[in-house]
Amino acid sequence: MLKLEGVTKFYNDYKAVDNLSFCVREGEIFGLLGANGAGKTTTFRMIMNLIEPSSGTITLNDKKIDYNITDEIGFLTEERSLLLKLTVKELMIYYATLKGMKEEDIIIELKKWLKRFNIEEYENKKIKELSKGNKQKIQFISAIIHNPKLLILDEPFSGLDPINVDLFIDVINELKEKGTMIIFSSHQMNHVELFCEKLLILNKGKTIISGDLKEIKQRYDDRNILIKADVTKAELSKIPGVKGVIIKGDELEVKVADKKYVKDIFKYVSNCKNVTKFEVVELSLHEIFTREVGA
Amino acid sequence: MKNKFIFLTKTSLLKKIKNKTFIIVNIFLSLILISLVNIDRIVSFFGGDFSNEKNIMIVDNTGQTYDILTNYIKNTESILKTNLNYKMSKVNNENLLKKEIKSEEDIGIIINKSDENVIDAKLVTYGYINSNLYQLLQSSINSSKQFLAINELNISSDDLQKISQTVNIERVYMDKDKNKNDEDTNTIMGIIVPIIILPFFLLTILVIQMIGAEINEEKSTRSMEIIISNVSVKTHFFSKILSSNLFILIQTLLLFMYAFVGFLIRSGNKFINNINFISDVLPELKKLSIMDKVLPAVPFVLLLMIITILGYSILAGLLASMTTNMEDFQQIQTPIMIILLVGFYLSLMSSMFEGSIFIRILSYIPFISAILSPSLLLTGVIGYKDIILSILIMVVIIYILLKYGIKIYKEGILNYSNSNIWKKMFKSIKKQGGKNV
Repeated sequence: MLKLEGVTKFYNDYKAVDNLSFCVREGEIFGLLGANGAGKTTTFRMIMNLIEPSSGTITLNDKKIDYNITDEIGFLTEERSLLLKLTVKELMIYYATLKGMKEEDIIIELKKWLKRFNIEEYENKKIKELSKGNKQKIQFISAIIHNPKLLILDEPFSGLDPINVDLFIDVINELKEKGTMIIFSSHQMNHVELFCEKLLILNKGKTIISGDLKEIKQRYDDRNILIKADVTKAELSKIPGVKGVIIKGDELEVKVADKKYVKDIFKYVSNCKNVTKFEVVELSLHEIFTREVGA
Repeated sequence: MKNKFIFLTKTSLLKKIKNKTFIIVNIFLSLILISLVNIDRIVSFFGGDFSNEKNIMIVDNTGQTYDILTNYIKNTESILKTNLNYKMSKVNNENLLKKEIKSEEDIGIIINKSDENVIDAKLVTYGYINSNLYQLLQSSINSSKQFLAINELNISSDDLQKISQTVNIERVYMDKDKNKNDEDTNTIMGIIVPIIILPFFLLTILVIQMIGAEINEEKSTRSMEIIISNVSVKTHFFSKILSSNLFILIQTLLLFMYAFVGFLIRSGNKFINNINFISDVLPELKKLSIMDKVLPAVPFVLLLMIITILGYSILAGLLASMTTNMEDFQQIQTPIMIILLVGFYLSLMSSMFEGSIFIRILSYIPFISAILSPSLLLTGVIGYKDIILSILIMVVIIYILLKYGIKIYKEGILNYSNSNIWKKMFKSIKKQGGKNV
């Protein structure tokens, strides 16, 4: 289990991370979210033993993180950290040897993953010759090739097309099934919602939301209702409790200030003609994030 | 961690050696060095007018100078060994001579009697002639004039021999440590400077650039974060320093090998004779009293040079950690380059400052000492004790650089901002404790 307890980090007088605490268990995907400059990168750097916290402790399976423990961590950085002049094979041998792997094992694992990501032909190609998406695949492989116990993924889907995003999602879920602890960070909230059961939102170094995703969503009484019927935006806007109506294609999304108003809206819509959809949904993570961080 | 250090060093060294630029540069270097050692053969191979026979024609209007002048030309040429291919002949008059001068190979000398200067001479050629040939003819004509002047004064042959004999100049030195052989060291210096000082200067620049480029490559691609998360900052730093210094050692050995191959090609079957030549020369060098002082100091000079390159490497590593790309590194390394250049020029001009206390003090200054010491040692300004002192000072400086430098490196290596570089550097020195590096 990865455990952060009361972690604070100062850069001179600036408090980058303020009393941060969370834990990630085996087979769990934990979302660490925040706007730019919220303290995510500093947190990752502290977990990776790149910088020391000013106070607080970070442990992985009850051990303080040192250079032996970092061998058990895989890190996919937001900005690509690839040595562009090396070939894929050279880079993988370089990074994985630093993780304590033997060369023969690296080659076997590399071939397996290159095949999985459909880029076998790039084994001896220089990194600088690869496309943006393929570079991201190589970086992802470099983070998981040593079968880490803890995997930190900072914007893993950057530069990927939808097909490759699905491929990544499959692999991440497989790693989760195997018991890997995963910290996932992304500005794409739909991706976070897809994976994370637990999450934490940082704002200016401070934790503003933390906990189980379902519980977090239930804390908010606001609801969105998706409607397909012969009803206009103006009609719906007049109903008490309706904060706003957005036209989304052939649907209308009604934003309701409280779930108690849903019954009244349902009553109104049920009297309309051609009702094919009436779906009540909780606030999206995107809405929660913008509401809390933007506040 | 030890294995990771070896791995990092090995990878970094192999990357440099397998680099296309290294291979291309060394192909050129080998060709240039081998060619330089055999330059006379290459020049001969391509041919040229240097082998053409010069036709020297002399009009002797004095009636007594021709034989004297031809003898002096022969003697002077045999002393100077200009390898001039020539023949000499007598021509009756100036008009005839001018008609005979039809090409660059024809040279005419007209000797006339002079009341004021014993003889006057006129040199007639088709075009320009080279300065060596001109000096040969001028020297021979002057000697002929002196001979004729002495004859006019009816000086006997014994007296003439006395006049012609070189004056024996005995040298007396009030300083007991000085002697004639020391004065010969200027000649030796002329050889030592290009063989020792210049390569040291160039190799130091190479090591500084190499360390800067490698660290900045890892920083600019952000792969530094992956590397530093797996090895300590200290391990990373020392692997860069060691691999660059090993590379320099390999490059130096390769340069010696190219020169050796050049000599092998030059000597062919006679290589054994050349070895004999070296064994003949060494005892001769040992006869020079300066060599008694120089030879024991050679290992110390080498040691000083090695630790100074190490010092420059450490300094380059620290500065590279504070920059984020090669352009910034080029700017921040300027002070190192200036120090190196100052040392280089002082070394070239060291003979001008002989006896100066100032230059002796400069020879102890770290980073300059290694480049200045070889020439000062040869001119007798410093001895091996001074070099030992310079080594000790350099070791202390390296210790200080490492003690505070690792903190700077640790702070700088993950810093991607260019603002307040120097302020950050000093702040990181002041910082106590922190992460175990």
